[in-house]
Amino acid sequence: MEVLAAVVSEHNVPLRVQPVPLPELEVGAILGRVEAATLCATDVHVWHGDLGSKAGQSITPYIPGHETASVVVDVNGERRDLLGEIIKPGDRVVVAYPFCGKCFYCTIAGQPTLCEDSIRYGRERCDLFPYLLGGCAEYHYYPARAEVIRIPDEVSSPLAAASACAFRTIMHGFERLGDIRPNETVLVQGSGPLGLFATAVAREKGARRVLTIGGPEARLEVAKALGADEVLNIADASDAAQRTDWVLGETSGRGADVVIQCVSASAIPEGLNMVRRGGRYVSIGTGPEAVTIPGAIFTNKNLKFASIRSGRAHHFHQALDFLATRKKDIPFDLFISAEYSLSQTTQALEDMASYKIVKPVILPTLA
Amino acid sequence: MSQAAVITAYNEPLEVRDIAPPKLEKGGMICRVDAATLCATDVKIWHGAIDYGPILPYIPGHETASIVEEIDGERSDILGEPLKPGDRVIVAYRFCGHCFHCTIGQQPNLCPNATRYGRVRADVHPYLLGGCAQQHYFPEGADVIRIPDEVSSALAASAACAFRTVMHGFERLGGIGSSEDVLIQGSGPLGLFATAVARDRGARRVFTIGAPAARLKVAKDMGADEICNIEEFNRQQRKEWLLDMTSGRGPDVVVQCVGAEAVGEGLDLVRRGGRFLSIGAGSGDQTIPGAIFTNKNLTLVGVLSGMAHHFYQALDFLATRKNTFPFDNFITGTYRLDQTTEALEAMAAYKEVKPVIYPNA
Repeated sequence: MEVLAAVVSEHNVPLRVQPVPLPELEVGAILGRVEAATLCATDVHVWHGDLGSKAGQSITPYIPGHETASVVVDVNGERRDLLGEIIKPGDRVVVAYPFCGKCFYCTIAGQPTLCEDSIRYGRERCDLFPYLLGGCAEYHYYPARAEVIRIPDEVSSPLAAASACAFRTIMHGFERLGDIRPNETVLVQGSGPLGLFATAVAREKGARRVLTIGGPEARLEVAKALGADEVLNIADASDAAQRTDWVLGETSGRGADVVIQCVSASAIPEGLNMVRRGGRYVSIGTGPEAVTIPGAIFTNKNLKFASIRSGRAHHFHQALDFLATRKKDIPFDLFISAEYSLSQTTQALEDMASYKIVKPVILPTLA
Repeated sequence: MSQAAVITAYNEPLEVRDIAPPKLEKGGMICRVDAATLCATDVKIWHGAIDYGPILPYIPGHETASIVEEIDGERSDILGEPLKPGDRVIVAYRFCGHCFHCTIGQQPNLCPNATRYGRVRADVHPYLLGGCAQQHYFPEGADVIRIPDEVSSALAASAACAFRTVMHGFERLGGIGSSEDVLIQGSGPLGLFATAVARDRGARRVFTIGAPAARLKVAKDMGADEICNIEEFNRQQRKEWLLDMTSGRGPDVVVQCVGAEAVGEGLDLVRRGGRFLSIGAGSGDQTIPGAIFTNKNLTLVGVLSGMAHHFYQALDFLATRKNTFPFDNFITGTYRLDQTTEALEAMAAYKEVKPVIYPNA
């Protein structure tokens, strides 16, 4: 039996909807029917071929999408969710990457997001068993060792999908950051999905003021709705020095107490100039480019700096719980700015690449 | 009159001058210098490589152990015990106590109005604000830490900069797991103290990279399990050496005790998910792969200077670990006041770990 999936056969070339074999379930594996798959900038990077090769090997052909909300269709044997409840057909879930559970990072270090043998959805070959490891398909296969997180009834599938990457990484970032004092100003660099979630969480965690730098205007409007006190459009301040001056002007000339980098590594030198002496910096946005910084800046500014890779199962839970319990105060639905069918996946990736859309959602059931 | 070694021009030999002791301000304190040690920062200031504005002529030395001579009014040490003439002390920089960093940020080490020693004009009141002099003035409000009897003045002096900064660093780093390997970059005073503290805090293994061989020998005495001489091994070889000893992962913790130029290498060496403590200062850019700052999932901590309780921790460590670590190996050369130029030159040439000046010898 075969099901339909949007497949990247070659980097940077339009996707094709094609039949992919429906795998037999291994013991403990789950088959989900995809309710909603959202795309993130990483999907664009992987499609462009900038990121995502595995140990130097090509990953094509693959099904993109690592932010997926599914309804359980079949379970081979007994599986339980993160909190120990038995999973049955009809349950709405998001599923973490399957970490190997037996490497140094999984076991000794307690940092499974660094697992070198994890399966990463949306960048695994679909011509090899178990084929369905990306969200842009009718069905999704979830291996036995992946943690399953139930989606609260209050949270729509598109929003739950969006929490499965960007938002759980933000939760990981704030966990590593630690406490935000009520007198601290938080600057968020970036107004993509990461930056918008970070804006909402910084506001919710009691920051004195939240400043968000990004663009375009439509995204900054969302940032304001999510709790940014002040926003700066990089189109109006195209020069890094201008932006730094704006931050200094908003912070008694000191810089922000906390800076959350939600752009890419290229934004780090600018962000390090915007954080105050003795402040804290959380680096989340990724990217392959090299950065040049004064070597002594961490010493001379007495900084704390944390870089964040991905997130663990409890961060998915935190993200979904946040969406459910803050629903009436925070207009999260503004994130989901456009819907696409499976055959429109190329268009969705292009709209993401051109910053037209905050979170494009693929609804495989859409005709 | 008090004799002092004065820097009147950058990079030029020092001049020993007679300086009139200042009139004590309320709470001010004048002390007789028992021992002054020099650090790499003294060399950099002398070379004019760090800009502190118009500080000439100044008395170098910010690591000073001294004996209280006179106090205007009452003054206590940080534990509240009244000070009296004859007490042996080190004294922290005077923080202003009313700026953002002193009050709200709770990081007085960042105080922009601090009175620092060893870089203040000696021709304006209160004149004696450097260690390379027979007497030292300590303004009201600077925290005073008593030197335990077990600790020599020379060693106490060295605790007044390098060691308290290392203590500050380890405080911000947090605990070290018993299964964690620690790499110390650098075998100068910072690196040697860091080696001892990492060992004392229960690291599984401590590796120290540095030069020259004489300093690395001290590193071994301080508890380094393995050492690597940068004069013999290039950056690639050092990386291979370290990966080989850490199952191909890199050390769990890296403590940078060199300067800006070592940051890129240290970030490359630390394992994914590890911690990087950046202590050495200096200048110059480093170009670093972006993924190190994102996907490597690092925790990076920078420390500048320290606070009064870090001085206390450093002195207490020297007193209570005296029999574990041969700290006296730090003090490698002794100089008179009129030999201060020589001491700075020896420090610049890495001939010394800690040169000590005895101005009243």
